[in-house]
Amino acid sequence: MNSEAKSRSLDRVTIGRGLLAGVLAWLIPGAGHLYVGARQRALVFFLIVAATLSMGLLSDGNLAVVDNLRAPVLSKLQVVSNLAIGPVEPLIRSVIYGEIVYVNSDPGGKSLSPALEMRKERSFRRYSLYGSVYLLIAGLMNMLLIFDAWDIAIGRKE
Amino acid sequence: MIHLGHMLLLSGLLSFYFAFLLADKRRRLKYGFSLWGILVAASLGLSLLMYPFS
Repeated sequence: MNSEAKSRSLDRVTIGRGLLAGVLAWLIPGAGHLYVGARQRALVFFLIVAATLSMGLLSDGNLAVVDNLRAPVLSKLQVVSNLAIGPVEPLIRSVIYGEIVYVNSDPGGKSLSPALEMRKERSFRRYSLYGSVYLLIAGLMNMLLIFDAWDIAIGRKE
Repeated sequence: MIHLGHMLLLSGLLSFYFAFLLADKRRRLKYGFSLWGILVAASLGLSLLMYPFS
């Protein structure tokens, strides 16, 4: 095997390692860091993201839905941020709203589906706004963790 | 009071998150507590500046 082919195969291995670290980080916050050997950081990150997520749920926070009428761009970014929490996000969505809903099909709010009615009702609860911020921040934190795990896995960062 | 509690908690979580993300092993605690103090002081300072407009 010549040196060019060898470095190309090494690159592929490194990229595979980076992708695996990123996917693991998305699946479980901190798992990407555990995979690359940063055990202490993995535990701390898991605890911080879990605490932020728990605070969001305990404060009756709402997960974002796409609202093409009032905030077409921002609402999509919020949904992306929520999805960065991991595969647990759709599960949380189905538990608190009764179904997995991502789009506000009736932005006017005249004939909302039961799930969106539930979401609207939660938004009037006392600490709901705080909770929604916690949920958004938990997703953003995990998004950075995914990139950080990738960087460590490919050797760009220690 | 609840608002202050949430501010302290969220800024604490974020401070230690960034401390573990960015600082090296020996400086993490110092970095975390410093960032927490800065975030809380800046938030209180901004809220006092905005008080006349509330």
